[in-house]
Amino acid sequence: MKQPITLFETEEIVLNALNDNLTGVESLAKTTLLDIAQINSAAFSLQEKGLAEIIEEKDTLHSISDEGKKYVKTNLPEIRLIKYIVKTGALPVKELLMAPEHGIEKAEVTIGLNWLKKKKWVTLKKKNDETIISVTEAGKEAEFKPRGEEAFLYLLAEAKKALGSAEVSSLLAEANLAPESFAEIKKRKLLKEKEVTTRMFQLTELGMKVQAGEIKSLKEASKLTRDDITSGRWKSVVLKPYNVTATPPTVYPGKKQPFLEFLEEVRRAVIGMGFQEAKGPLIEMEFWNFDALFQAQDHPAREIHDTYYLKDPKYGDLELDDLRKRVKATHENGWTTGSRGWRYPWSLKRASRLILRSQTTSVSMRFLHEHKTPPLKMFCLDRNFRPDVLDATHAIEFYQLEGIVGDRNLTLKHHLGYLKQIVVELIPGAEVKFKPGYFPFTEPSVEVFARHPKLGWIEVGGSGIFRPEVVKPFNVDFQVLAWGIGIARLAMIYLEYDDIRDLYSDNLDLLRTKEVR
Amino acid sequence: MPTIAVSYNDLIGLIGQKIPLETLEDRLFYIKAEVEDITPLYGASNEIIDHDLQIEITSDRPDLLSASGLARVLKGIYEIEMGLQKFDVDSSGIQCTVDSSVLNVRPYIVCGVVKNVHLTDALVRQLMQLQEKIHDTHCRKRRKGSIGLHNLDAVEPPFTYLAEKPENINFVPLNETEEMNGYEILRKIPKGRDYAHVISDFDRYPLLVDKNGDVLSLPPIINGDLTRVDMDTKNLFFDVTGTDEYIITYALHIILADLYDRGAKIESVEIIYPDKTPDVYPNFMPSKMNLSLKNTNELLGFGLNLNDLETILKKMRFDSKTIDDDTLEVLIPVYRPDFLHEVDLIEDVSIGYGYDIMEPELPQSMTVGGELPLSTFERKIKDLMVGMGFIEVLNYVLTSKYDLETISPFTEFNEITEIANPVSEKYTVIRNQLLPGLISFLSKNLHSAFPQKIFEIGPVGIPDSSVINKVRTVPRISAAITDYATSYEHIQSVVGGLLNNLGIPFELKSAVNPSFLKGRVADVFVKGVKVGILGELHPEVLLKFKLENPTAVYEFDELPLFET
Repeated sequence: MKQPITLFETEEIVLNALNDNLTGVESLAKTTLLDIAQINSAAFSLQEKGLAEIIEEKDTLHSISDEGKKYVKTNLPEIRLIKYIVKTGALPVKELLMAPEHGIEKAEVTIGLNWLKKKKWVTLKKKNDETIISVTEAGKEAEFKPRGEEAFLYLLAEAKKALGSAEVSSLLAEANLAPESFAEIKKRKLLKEKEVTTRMFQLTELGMKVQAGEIKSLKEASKLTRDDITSGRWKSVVLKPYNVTATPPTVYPGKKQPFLEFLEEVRRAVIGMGFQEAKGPLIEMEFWNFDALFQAQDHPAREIHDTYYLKDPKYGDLELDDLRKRVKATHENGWTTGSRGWRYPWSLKRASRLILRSQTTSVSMRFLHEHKTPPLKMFCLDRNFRPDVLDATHAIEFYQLEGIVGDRNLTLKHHLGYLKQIVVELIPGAEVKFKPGYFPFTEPSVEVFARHPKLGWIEVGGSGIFRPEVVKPFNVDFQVLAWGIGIARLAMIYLEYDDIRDLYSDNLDLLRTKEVR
Repeated sequence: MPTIAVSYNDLIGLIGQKIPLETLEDRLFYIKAEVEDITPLYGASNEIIDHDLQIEITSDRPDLLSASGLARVLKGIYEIEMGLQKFDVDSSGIQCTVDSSVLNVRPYIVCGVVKNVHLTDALVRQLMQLQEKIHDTHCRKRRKGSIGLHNLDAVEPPFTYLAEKPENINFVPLNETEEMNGYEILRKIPKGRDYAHVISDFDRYPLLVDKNGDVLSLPPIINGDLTRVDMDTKNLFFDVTGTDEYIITYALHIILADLYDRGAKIESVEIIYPDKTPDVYPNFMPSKMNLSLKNTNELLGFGLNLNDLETILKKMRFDSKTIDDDTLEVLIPVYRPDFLHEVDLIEDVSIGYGYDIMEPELPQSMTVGGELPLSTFERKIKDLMVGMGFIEVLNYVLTSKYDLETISPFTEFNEITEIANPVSEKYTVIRNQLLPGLISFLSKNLHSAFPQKIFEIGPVGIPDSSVINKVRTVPRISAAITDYATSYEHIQSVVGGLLNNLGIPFELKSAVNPSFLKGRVADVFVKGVKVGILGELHPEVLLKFKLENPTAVYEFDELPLFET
């Protein structure tokens, strides 16, 4: 069966505007009120459907150049010169070049002289070391003769648009300009030329029949409208097919931050292991960040290059209550913990200094202060701060995965058991090894390493069993396993970032295009 | 943590048994010494003759900061030499008198003599490294203690440790050519400038002089050139001075033990005090600490018996004596400062047992995991914002004062908390709003496609003298839309979409706020309490951030929404 003829809206309009004569695109634009691009596109598809024919003609368009425009106003320089020479009689060329009264610019005098010589309107003769210029007969005649060049340039300027070859031919006839003079004008760059292709359209026989209604056509649409659906028109409407395999246009969906999404996965994993979430203040007193953790007040971590201090206010409110008294005694002489203590006078004022917390272990201590019934399993996944210059490998803020397990009868072997389980949750299939380490608040202390399939052994975090000097002042009478895992490193591996600043990316395109893992 | 350089050959020589490099590296890892780098050293015909090891030592073990310290522990681990090491010390007959003038400046001094030492390049490097690392870490950059090393034969005992007025001090400092007074030394020479702060507040500076008043050192700054040590030096004199008697004592013993292990002969010095009975240093008499088998097994879970415990202690270079069925009295070498509590000894047992052979174990106790209700709430907000096409961003809590002062949507909370010791001028204050961070974010993405819709949930710091921490950590949520044509109604519909879906009834009241366009800003009230603000930013604000498109924003306090 023959395919029915379908017409898209603009195609129908163009078809109806055409006939069996050639019609130009501009006149079509006037009659159809479509723009040129729409007409071209419609005409090409009409041609494909065998309804119209497109005839392309190459032509040269001519228009007057800026120099040409000037001469329409002032006359050609050679004409102006000949008039002057006729008036003054023969004179030395030098004078002609110098003479100001003829009002012709020096550059134009040179041009004019060349043409005077070429046209043989003047002769030049040497006399007493001077070159004398005098007008020939042809020159005298020329002054009074009507001149085709000027007439043509005038007519062309009057046309005020570029003219095709046919129009130029009729102008040449009107101006009575010989073809060789026309070639001269072109050479003198008094004209501008431009190659163009003009399209002319005409209907084919089939097109005429469709226009006359002798052959039925169907309407083709780009969009299905509500009207099409409700009116039943959809039955006759033919939807223009899309290029369904084209690359889809770009869309940026709303998205969660990639690093925070990774942290969300981590949270899910530790919650699944039975850990309860806790949070604490970012602006913290040194007491919770250091003193409660048995870090002596002159510990290097409490120096200004390792912890951010507040300028104003400097101190929080801290009283020498029972807890503080026990911590003070533990620092000074070990209190009843069985320790020797750090042997220095502990300052309450120093403990009340305000800082940006440098470890989420402060949150663990606040948690232990409020929860004393084992078993306890707490985690905190939050920000900490350390003075550093931000670059590809150093961050000013870092997220730590803090965890504690508190219970009776917990041992170092259990500690390693938890660490291994957490690391395997974070890096599936990782091999884990443990190194004895040192942290002021844990003993034994354990550094955790994991073998990453690509990167080899990497340090995952620090950990240990809280010292008696840490837990006893808080009246905690069971073992507390604790760890802090530097999650940024794992996030960078997971997200395939090389620059730690990408975790806090301020590049919208990165966030928009980063794959959701 | 300090890192030291050690020669593999030197270390093997000190251990007295050939251990393959790889095995050694592995073993060091399990005694708190992590090999970070290995560089082969080549001989004349391009063959490898030695390896330079860069080893990181944990900061509780100053005794491991040299090859001999490491070798001492490794000899125990490999059972080449076990138990407490013996040190033979003769008296040198030398006295050092402490003058009462120095008691309120830098009160403590301990000394020691090393005879018949054969100094080599390698040994001097090890000594200097040990001295420098101890200075930087345990001695807190010479504040608490500092070590001086002298050619004993260049001076005449007895010595006096005193404090002298800077103008009366006059000697040629080490590696200098001219005599200088105390002030000049602190001002002119590099070490003087580095450590001036330790003593410059005092009227008198500490000084160690000999019988003739010749200067051995101006602690903790510099030695005299007189006692300079070179390759021909046979007899050494050590002084360690400081403000912490405990630290200077173990520092002296660590250094002397080191030289002793390399075959030097150690002799003691008598210290005469103005206010107490004389002491003799060095004194390698071990300290004692009781260790309970029960406590050890409870903490470690290894199920050891008393015999196991004693064997492990010997491997770790301790001696012990059985007190009863459960208790050992452990003798701890004087060069080990890391014993505050029994748990420290138990840790050594765990290291002696081996971190590489411990079997991780999981306990049976049951707990229920869960997140904070606020975290659940935040996730709901995130889901709604993402559903409305917003992209989540994460900004730093630290920011610049300029950004915060340029946009202040919460006019009632515009006080800013500054950091006392910022590192970069871009991060000097704690943010008290999220919005400036979002606007600053947009200003970095002027060439990205529009519309741009972003949001952030995160903490800010609000100064509040009524709370004990003085600055409250408060969670906030904020969002911004910027586009060629966006306006109040766009952000208003987002706020409606968010709060309606959270089931939070709210009321909008017209507001006046200089950061926003007049008539296009509203306060958001929930149950009569202001919880936030929304509106269209003023062009003056936009242009300060180079934003050229209309921008509409909101910011809320999260807690009042959560509590509704």
